[in-house]
Amino acid sequence: MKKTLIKSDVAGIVAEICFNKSDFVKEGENLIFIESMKMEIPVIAPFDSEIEEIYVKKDEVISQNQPLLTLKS
Amino acid sequence: MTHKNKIKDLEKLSFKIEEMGGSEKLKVRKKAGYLNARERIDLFFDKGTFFEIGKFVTSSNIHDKDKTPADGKITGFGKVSNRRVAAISNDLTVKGASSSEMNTKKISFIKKSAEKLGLPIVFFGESSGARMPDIMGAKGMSQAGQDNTQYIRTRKVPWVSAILGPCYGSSAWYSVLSDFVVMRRGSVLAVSSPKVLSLATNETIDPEELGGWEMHSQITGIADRVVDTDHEAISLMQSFLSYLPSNNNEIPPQKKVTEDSLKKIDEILSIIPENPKRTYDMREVINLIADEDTAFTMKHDFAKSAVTELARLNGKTVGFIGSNPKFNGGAMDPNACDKITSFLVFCDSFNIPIIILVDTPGFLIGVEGEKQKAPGKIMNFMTALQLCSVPKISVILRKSYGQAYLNMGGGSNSDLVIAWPSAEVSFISPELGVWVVNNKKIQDNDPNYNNYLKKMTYDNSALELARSFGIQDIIDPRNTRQYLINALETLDKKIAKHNMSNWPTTF
Repeated sequence: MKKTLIKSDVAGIVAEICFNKSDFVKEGENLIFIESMKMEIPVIAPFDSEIEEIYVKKDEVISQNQPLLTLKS
Repeated sequence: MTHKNKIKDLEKLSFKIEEMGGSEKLKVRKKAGYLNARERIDLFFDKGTFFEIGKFVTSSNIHDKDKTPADGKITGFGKVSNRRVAAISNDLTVKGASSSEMNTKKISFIKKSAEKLGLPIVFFGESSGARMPDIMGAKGMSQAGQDNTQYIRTRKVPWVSAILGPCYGSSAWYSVLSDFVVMRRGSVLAVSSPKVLSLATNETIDPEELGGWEMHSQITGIADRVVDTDHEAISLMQSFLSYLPSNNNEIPPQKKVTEDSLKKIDEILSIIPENPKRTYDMREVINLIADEDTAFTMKHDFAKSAVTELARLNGKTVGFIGSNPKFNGGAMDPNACDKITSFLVFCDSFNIPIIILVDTPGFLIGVEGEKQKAPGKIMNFMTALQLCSVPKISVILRKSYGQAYLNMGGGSNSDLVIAWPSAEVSFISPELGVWVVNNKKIQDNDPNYNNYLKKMTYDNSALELARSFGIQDIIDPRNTRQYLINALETLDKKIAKHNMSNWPTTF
């Protein structure tokens, strides 16, 4: 079992969290949208996995490199 | 001895040389699924076209005479799709393909000949570094560095490298000096091997961590593409060369166009979200504009907020540069600047026209970027763009903001700038303008906020940009392909000035 911590590439505001803890996601799916630089930037699943933990809430202000979630694969 | 006997002896020796480091070593490789140095050459070149140079060379160390067939580096010329190419193939079964006095001479001969003849050079990389004990001591070192042009890269001819095993020393150097690098998973590229490190610095490190495919495709960007087999690597090298001229005095070869290339552009409207905050993948746009199945991605997994792809347009090679909204909304970071800069230099050096597809909210700003020298990277990018003398056409799809507007070819930084009706162009957003100038945010509930905002809100539309001649035309997105084909016919200057041919390959 491999655990992967996904961090935010950008600073911004969490606009939408598309899944819940324990959901299974497919590679390429949008996990979270971060509003930043006039855009809703998707955080994309790098591979098929299960969401083990989500560390942020909707509307939360986040910084670059802040942990967003952990994936289990 | 008769002529015939002499020839027989020569044939025997030739056969022995082709056995390389011996059947045992070759068997181990075969079992692991790796091609050997000669199989790579056979697979790469058109059948029967390879002729070897320096086959009978051995180590200058007389004790190693019989242990060093071709001295561990197989060199020569052949044809790929009927075009001549020079090759250097490292034979790991002979003293780890280590660099020696004699095989350095072979490489030098091939490189100089290829430049003189105007032929691309391919490197099948797999080498352990300098040969020991030959290089040891002052006397050994005095033999090194005898070719004072050895590491000059002037981009007169294309260089293509494959990382197909451990690449330390020679293979590492030539890979990073190349225009295209493909890496087989499980290979390692680094200055020195983990074994050297373990004693020199007491650092025990996993080879993958030191210089594996993830490191070089995602973090350093040295590897353009990653594959699982030697076969795939060789096929990509051939494909890459098909886009390029043999040298910088030629234009790229032209190919036939399939009929489907003409039809698919109509899908373009369905890819671009009408909500300007939503993202899409710029690579899909390139696929629709370019001839069918011709997009060839460079630095595929590196700095994904920028896209750099070779492709064909009406059969002619073009270089597509794009910001990619799918990653970081198309906000480019310092690595994305490096990626685009190196692609600009490459296209300009080999007479490849450039098409810039723009949808970016600006450069990604922040502390991280500043630590990575963002201002310097943005200016490198800008310098390269302004030094480019191949035709440049910039297409503004949606957003083009701030300094990135200029970097992506805005103003006079392209020969032509055109826009889609969905384009929006400005310095920064009106809200940000009010914050900078009036020191107010919407949350401050200032009674004058709306007035401030009104004063900052200007028409940022494509039409306003066209009216003030900031662009030369506004087009229906579905006409993009045909517009670009027509425009390139008009702008084509054939051979560029090559002002950046000696720009560093890594910076």
